[in-house]
Amino acid sequence: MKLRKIAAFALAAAMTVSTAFTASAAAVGANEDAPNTEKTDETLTIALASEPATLAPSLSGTAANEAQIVSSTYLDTLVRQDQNTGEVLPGLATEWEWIDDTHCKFTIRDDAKCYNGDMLTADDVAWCVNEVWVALNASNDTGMFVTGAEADGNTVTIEYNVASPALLGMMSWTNFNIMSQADVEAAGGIEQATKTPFIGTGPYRFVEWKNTEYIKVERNEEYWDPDYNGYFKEIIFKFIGEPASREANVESGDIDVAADMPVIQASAFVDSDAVKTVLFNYGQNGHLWYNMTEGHPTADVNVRKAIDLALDFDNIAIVGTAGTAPSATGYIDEGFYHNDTYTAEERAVNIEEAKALLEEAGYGDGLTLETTYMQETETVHAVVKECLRQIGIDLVMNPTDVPTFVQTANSGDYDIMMIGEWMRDRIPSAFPFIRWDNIHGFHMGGPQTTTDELDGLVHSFIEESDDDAAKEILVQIEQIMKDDCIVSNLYPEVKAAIINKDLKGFTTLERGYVNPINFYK
Amino acid sequence: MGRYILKRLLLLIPILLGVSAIIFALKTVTPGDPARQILGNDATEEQVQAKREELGLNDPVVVQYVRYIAGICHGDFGESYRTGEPVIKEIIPRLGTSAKITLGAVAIGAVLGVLLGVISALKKYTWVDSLVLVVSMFFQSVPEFVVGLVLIMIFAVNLHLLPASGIETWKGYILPMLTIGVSSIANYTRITRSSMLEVLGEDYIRTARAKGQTEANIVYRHAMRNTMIPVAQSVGTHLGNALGGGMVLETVFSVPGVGKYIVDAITARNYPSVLGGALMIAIILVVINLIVDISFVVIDPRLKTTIIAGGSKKPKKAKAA
Amino acid sequence: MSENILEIKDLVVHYETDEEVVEAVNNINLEIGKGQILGLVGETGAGKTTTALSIMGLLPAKVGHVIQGSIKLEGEDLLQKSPKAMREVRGKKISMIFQDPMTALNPVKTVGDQISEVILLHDHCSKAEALKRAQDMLAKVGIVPERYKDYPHQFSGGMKQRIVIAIALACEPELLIADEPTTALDVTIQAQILDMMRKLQKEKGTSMIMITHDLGIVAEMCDHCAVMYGGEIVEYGTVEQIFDNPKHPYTKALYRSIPSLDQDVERLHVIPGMVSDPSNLPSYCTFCDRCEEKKGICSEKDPWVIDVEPGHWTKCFQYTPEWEGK
Repeated sequence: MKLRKIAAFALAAAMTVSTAFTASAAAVGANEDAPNTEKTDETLTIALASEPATLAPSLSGTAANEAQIVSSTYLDTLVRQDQNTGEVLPGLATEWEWIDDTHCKFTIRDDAKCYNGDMLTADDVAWCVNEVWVALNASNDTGMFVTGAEADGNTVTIEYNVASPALLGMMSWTNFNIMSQADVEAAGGIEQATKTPFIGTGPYRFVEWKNTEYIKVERNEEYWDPDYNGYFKEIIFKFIGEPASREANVESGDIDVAADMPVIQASAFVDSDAVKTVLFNYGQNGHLWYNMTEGHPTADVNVRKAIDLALDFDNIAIVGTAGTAPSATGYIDEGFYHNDTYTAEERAVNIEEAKALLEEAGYGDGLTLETTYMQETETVHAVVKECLRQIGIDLVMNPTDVPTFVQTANSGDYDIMMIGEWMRDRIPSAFPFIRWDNIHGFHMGGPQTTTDELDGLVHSFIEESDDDAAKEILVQIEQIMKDDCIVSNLYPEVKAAIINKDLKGFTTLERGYVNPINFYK
Repeated sequence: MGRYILKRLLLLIPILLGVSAIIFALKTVTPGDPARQILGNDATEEQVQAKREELGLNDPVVVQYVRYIAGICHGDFGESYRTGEPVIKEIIPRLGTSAKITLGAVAIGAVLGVLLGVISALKKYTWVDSLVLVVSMFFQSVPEFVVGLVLIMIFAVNLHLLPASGIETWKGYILPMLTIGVSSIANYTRITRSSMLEVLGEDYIRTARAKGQTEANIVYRHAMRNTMIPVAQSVGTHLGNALGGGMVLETVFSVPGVGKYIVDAITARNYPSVLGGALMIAIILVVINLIVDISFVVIDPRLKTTIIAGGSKKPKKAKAA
Repeated sequence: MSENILEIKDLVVHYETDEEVVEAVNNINLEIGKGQILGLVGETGAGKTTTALSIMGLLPAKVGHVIQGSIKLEGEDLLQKSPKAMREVRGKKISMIFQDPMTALNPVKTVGDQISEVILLHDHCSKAEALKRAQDMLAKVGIVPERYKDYPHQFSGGMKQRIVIAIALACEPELLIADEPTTALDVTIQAQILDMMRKLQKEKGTSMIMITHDLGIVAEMCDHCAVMYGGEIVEYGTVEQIFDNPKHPYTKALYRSIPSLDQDVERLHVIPGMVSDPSNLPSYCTFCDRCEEKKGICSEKDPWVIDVEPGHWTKCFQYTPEWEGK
């Protein structure tokens, strides 16, 4: 209770600071510095928000942020992806080729050395896909779209259960990591390898996990990639839950990187000389979804449009991004595609018209709507509530934590719900609405209902092999979303980190995760 | 004495039953499914159900409760959902860490608080008294959380004397101890001051003066021990508070103590860990209170008869009649 | 060098707080001969205890002030002594027994410690010797010496007062001030304690001030008696003089309020009115408002000391020529 009050106070304080330099954003971004060329004996210390439960997420059948970040240092993926351009680059696979819509053949490099000293083979990759991805991860992204793999010489052919060209880029995600069976067994088997992952071919090697205190990895001096230079000999991950003390630790020099800082708190340090603030977009837009199933007032298009007109998008964006980004004019803000679906006039607040629409929908006397949200978006929801109050809608706010939030989003127990969608690529699981497995039943938010027309468009959007053609389909989908006001666009979400002032090379993995291996001084 | 201690320890049984019953009750009304938490956001409903079945979460709460209690009777506090390790094995080392910090904090708070309290009692209604009041109230009113961050700013960020987090070296303990400690100074100062003033007004102090005793010795030999009786009582409560307050502070300083363990467990709906942690703290509090009560006997000989003979538990002031 | 152990001259004591000034002791003069016992009699609030505390130098700090006068112990003015010198007087030359034995002992220290403390303070000796003497003192006051290890709560009220007396007499003081030493005790115990006190007083020839509101005790123990009212001594004389020939209306009223064994009285005599408010004393006779014998002059000016017979004086206009004149 106490903590919450203070958090609110700190937030308010941070707000005052941040609005003072609204959108001036003197902060640095991610993926901007030139790569490192030097090797030293120094140690890098990164503070994560929490301690991972496993150090080999795919072996545990989960995909949790912190575990992904840590394991990315010692586990390689088949391909890499340029976080700025989206271009797919070689990783453990030197080349690849789509055999048909659902089969992709990867040529595995012969110079990647596993932890136990053996060279990684195509057979190892096939084992990993079949026995780890598919067998252990059917419930999450890692196994959801993959049927299996077959090795042939130095190639592996992976079979997918959906047709989507974006799946190739998805193979660069940290959860699609590769390990050999021999390594896992040498590390003590699947169970033990999640605690002491003496496995992998990555640029760093696991050293020690001191429970509750730190995880240590050291530079792999025999890494296969001659172009990669690890500046730091050792990387230590610590776990500091409280963002304010994460920041203080950077300032005091105890740690170098405070990952996952709340934007509003990080933005207070933009002008600080003591630390460097990294604020970056990562291709995720915050959206306000309307539950369109029977029984919810939001099933009425006029109610949805009234809300959309009442929302003050500029102020919501200021609060949501601590003044670092303007409100979003398109459903997808950045990355491979952007289309200004809305004009500035259309985004403007129009209380009169909103009230008229509500009147028309039969809610002239006002109505009550319910939303569930996570603590960190409290302020955004407070602004939304105030906007809705102006047109006579009382918004009941239910703050909650991640698991309940996910549960609520899946069960459809909400009228409106804010969900951020990572849409940097056309992967089949990003936008709750434009999502392959959503065609036969929506989940994770969204309108909870759909039409054949929309299903068809989503289907072809995901499968379309030509990017330009896919974009044209998306324009049509967006038009329907706008006409029916299925979702309201809020703002491009921003991530933040605070790093040592001398540190360079802040790069990201997928979804804006901090990449531990490219830092240098 | 032995019988008294045994009797107090037997009290643990209803307390533990109560604590665990409350947590079980809360578990049923708290939203969030541990099974989903374990399996991750993308798990299907079937998988979640299977996991629930495996964890016994589908049984009626009463059945779960009885099973849990039966386990405890065999010393089995269950296994952490997160790591699969026995809860007790995870808690014990963390308990040591928390205990060190708590004891250190209480020592700092009590020593400084009593010192300031005595000073302000002796200098009552002077500027010294007011200054002590203002300073100690400042530390009490500012939340520990903020005090912690300010201390980090001063000692870690600016002076580079102490680490901002972690307890790899002994230096790491200082800031958390200091933070919890200074927050309680006001409490001790207030109690000591009023107790000291009351004691100094007692007849036996006049008797001591009539003997020709010096003021310093009157305070030190005659007033101090009598003053300490209510202070010792509040040490007991403060130990409990500090252990609880540690939940917030351990997060700020990222200290792997039992408080942080419980907080993390609550976030993860890791009920065996929450239960185990809470029960451990309950046990410790009962034991601490027992030790405090016994220590009263050492400070105040009048209580030997009342306490040990099983009279009223904590006579505030046994003015022998 | 006079025969007197203590001489109090023109003593005025005020209690000053932010709200008011209380004139607790108003220009009193007293003397106590060596080996004598003076009874100080009066109602609560008459200024008896204040007088005693002034002698001890134990007036409440900051509040209690000696405005004028002198208190001479064997010719040396105690009021001029430094705090350190006063500490050497207290417990050694002058001791005091307080009213309530229940609270006068430190509950967390053994009685042996509390007695030996005063011995150690004044008669620089070893701890063992002090303890030995403490045990002797316990024996003297009629308590088994082996009980020196016990704590006060293990003793009864009467025994506690014995211990208090043991502390007071441990260093064989020249003057003992006993402030209502038996008020808090049962009647049977009272007699025992008084007997013991008198025995010990005789043994060492200690001078003593016995503060009490019980005229019976005065009659039994004292040589001289001073009657206090409203911060003043209104009558002074030997016990015989005061008892056989009380002069001041207040003294007479006090006698009438004692239940008599000889006569059957329906109601005890009650002195009408309240004790005068010491924060608001009149400029005339303080007893005037309650006096049954008053005349006009009584509410006009303050009476002065009038000798009624050798060694016996009072403060009342009745014994002045002015009385008849009006």
